[in-house]
Amino acid sequence: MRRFAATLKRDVLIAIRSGVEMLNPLAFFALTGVVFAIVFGSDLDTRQISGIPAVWTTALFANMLAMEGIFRRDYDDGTLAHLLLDKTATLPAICAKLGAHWLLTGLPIGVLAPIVGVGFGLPPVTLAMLMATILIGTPALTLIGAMGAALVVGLGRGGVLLTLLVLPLYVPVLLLGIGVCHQFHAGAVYTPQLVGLFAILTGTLTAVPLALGPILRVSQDR
Amino acid sequence: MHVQEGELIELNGPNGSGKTTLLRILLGLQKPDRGKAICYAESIGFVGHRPGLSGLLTLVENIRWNLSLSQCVVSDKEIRHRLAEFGLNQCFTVSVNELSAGQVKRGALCALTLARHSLWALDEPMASLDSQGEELLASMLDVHRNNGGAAIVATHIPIASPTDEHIVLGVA
Amino acid sequence: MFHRMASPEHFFAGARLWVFWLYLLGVTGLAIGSAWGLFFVPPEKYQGDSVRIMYLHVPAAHLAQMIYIAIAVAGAIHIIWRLKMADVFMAAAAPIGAITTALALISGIMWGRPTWGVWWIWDARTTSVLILFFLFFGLVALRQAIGRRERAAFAVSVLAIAGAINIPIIKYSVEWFTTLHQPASIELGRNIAIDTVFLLPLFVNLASLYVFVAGVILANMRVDLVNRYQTTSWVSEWFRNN
Repeated sequence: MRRFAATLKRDVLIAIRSGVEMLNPLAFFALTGVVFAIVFGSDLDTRQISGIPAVWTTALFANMLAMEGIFRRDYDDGTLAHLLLDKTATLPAICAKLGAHWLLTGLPIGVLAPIVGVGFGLPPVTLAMLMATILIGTPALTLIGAMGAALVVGLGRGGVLLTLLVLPLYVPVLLLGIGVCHQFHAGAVYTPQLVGLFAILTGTLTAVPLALGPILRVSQDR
Repeated sequence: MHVQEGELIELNGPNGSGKTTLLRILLGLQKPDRGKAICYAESIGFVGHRPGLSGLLTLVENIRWNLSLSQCVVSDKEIRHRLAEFGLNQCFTVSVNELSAGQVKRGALCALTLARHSLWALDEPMASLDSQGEELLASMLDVHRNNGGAAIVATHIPIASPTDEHIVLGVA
Repeated sequence: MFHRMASPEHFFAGARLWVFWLYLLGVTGLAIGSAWGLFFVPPEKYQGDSVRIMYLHVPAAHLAQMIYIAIAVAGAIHIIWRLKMADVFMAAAAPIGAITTALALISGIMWGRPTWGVWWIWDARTTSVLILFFLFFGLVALRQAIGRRERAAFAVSVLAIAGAINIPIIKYSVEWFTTLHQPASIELGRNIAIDTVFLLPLFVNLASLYVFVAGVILANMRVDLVNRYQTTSWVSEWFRNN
C-alpha cells in the first residue's frame, strides 16, 4: 500500500512538474471537439446525432495520445528497471501508475466531455450520460492503451505503431459507449451495452495490471 | 556463480563481451538465450547506465520513492545527510535534469547506499565520476562489504583488490 | 513425433516434403473446386451468377479467422512453454492471415454490391473481419518494429492473445448495436438454405484452401528457420548439400 501511495504521489508530481505537457491531451480533446462542432453545421438534429460519436471518438483519441507517454519517461531514465527489479513492488507500482495516468487524463476528459458536448446542442441528461460513459470507458481505454504502450516502449517510433496496435482493441469500448448514449438519447433500452462496457472494464482491470509486469520486463531486453 | 557475504565479483572484458547482459540476466531484466538464470539474493540494488532517477524530481524526492519501493523507512533528514556526504549538499532543491552527469551518478550511488540491499549490481559505476567520486565509490563498497553485503561489478577499470574474484568475459 | 517436430532442424527437414504435397493437393483442389463452382453450378435463383463469389469469399473469410485463432493459440503456447517453433509459426502465419483477410474483404465488397445494393455495410461480420485485418497488420508491424527476436516473440504473443479476446466482443457488441439500426437484409445470403449443388464445390474449395495455406505457412516457416538459424551447423550443411 505504501508503494502504491508513493508511486501515485510521484507520478502526479512528475506530471505537475512537466507543466503544460499534462494539459496537452485535454487541449487536444477540447480543440478537436470544437472543430467537430463547427463542421457539423447548424441543423440541430444532425448535430445531436453526430455529437455523441464525435465527443466519444475525440475522447478516445485524446486518451490514446496520452497513453504513449505512460512508461516512456520511466523507461528513458531507468526508473522502470527499478520498478521491475523487486518483483513484489511491480504490481502495486504499476497499479499506481495506471491510476495516476487515469486521474490526469481520463478523469479530466470525462469532466470536460459535457462542456464539449454542449457545442452539439445535446440536452443535459444526454450530456450527463455522455460524461458517465466516458468515465466508465476511459479506465478501460487507459488499461488497454497501457498494454500497447508497454509493448512498444523503448522502440523510438512508438507513436504511430501504438495507434495501430491499440485502435482495433479500442473499438468495442467505443461502440458500446456510443451505443449506451444513443439508446439513452432515443429513450430506448441501453442496459445491454452498459453491461458490456462494465464487462470490458472489469476484464481489463483484472487482466492488464497482471500482464503489464511481464510485458514491461521483456521491454528491458534490448 | 557464488557471491558470499562481504565478497565482490568483478566482471571484466572488452566492449561487447556481455558484461552488461550478464548483469541484466542476473537481475532478471533479460532472459538468457539458452538455459535459465535463477538468482537467490534477498534483495538486489542496481545502478546501471541509466541513472534510475526521474529528471523532473529532486534527488530527495527520487530517493524517497526508491526507498519506498524497497520498503525502507528512512527520514528525509537522513537522506539529506547522506547526500551531503556524497558532496551533493548544493543540489537539494534542483531537479535531477539540472545536475551534471557526475552528480546524477553520485545521486544514484547515494540512493543505493540508503536502501540496504544485500547484493549490489553495478554496471560501469565509474562512468562519469571524477577521482573524488571514485574514492567515494570505493569507500561505499568497503562499508557495504563490511556490513555483510556482496557486490557484482561490471567494469573495465579495475576496482577490486587482487584477492577478489575476477570473471573475465571474452568476445563471442 | 511432436518432440521431434519441435526441434527446428527436424522440422526444417521434415516439412520439405509436406510443403510439396500440400501445394500440389491445394492447388489441384482449388482448381477443381473453382472450375466446378464457376462453370458447372447453375446460377442461383435470386442472386444469379454473383453467387459464385461465394466460392472464394466463404473459404477466405473462414480461413482468416482460423489463422487468427491458430496464431493466438501459438502465442499462448509460446508464453507458457517458450516453444520457439510457436513463434516461427506466428511469424509465418501473420502475413498470410492478412492476405487471406484482405481477400475475404475484397470478395465481400464485390459480392455486397449485387446482392445488398451497397459495397459495404457496417454489420457484425464486416466490422469484425475488418478489425481482424488490422489485427493481423498490427502483428506484422509490431514484429518488424522490435529488433530483438525474443522480445518481438513475446510482444506478438501478447498482442495476438489480447486481439483474440476482442473478436467475439466486437461480434456481439455490433449485433446489439445493429439490431436497432440496420435492416435485417444483411442476412439475405444466409437465410436462403443452400442447396447441395452449391455446397459441394464450396467444401472442395474450403478444404483445398486449408491445405494450400498450410503449405504456404510451412514454406514460410522454413525460410524463417534458415534466417534464424543461419549460424548453426545444420543450416550451413543444408546449403552445402543444395
